[in-house]
Amino acid sequence: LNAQLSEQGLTATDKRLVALACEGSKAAFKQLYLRHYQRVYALSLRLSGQSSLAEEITQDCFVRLWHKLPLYRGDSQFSTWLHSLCVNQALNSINNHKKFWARFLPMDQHPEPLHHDDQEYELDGLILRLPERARIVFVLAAIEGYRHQEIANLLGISVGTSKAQYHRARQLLQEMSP
Amino acid sequence: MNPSPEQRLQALIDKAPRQLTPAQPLWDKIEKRLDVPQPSKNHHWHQWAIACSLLLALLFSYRFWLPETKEMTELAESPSQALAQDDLQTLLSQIDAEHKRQVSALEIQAHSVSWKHSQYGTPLEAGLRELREAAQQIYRSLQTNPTDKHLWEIWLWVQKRELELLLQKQKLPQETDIQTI
Repeated sequence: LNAQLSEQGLTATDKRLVALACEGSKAAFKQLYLRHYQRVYALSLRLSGQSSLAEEITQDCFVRLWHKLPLYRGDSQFSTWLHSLCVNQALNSINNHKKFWARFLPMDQHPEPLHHDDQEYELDGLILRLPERARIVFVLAAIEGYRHQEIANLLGISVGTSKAQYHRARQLLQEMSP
Repeated sequence: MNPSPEQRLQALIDKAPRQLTPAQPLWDKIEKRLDVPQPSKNHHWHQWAIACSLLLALLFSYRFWLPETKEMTELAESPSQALAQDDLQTLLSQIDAEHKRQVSALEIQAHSVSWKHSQYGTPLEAGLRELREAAQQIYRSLQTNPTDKHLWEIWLWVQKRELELLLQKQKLPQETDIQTI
């Protein structure tokens, strides 16, 4: 696809790929996937705290994206639009996952170890050990740059609760950090 | 000078990577799901309508049974107790048959929407098996003691749970979608 676009003197921008994917080009959609899947997976992993669920969310997110692509009007950056879609998908999946398994399994989850020795991933190893609500608020506020009002709207909580969870998360992370 | 815990945390946040790579490639699984039609809102309404119909049917069965029980309690103290026992046995069989019909309808519907077994379904299957075993035991107890109201309540509750689990099972993702989990 890239070669095809180069022949036409076109740079395969996200918007161009979206346009092609809207016409049914899975090759263009795959290019979009390859450009963004690591970002989507990082967000999904940090929000869900489980690699298996993060993989599921990433898949769901791109399947949903495929069906929602015609709704993208190009008013904002594609990556911003995708990010918003991914956050909503992740929060829905986490809730559904929790409701489903709560019927059959005890809910005291044990965090999965993150298989990276690099110091770059130290924060991620700690995030996975946070309680779920504190983790979600912390990821959205500290890493994704959401305002507390936005987080409150997304999670259906008050701004005060969002701030309290955020400070709780920071406190816990400082205590956990070696 | 050593950084404070707050500074150290902020440094960790600042250097956290924006991207992470999943342990296994996901594209093939995503690609397989692209052509699967998304459930429409109408489909959700359809499922809700079925669920509500089933609940109404159960409620109707329950309401239908209540006057019978009252009547039976009165009859139990009279010489015609044997007749009431027969009526309750008939009612028991009727409700059991109706429930089996509802379960069968749900299972047929599940197959018609290409529902497949998935590993998500394993605990659900186990739950259904246990429920059905319990329902069988309760049913046998009711056959020998059809006037036990508590047994009736438990039996109807177990039937309701079975239908709920079957509805829940239909919403599970297909196996091809979750092979990585």
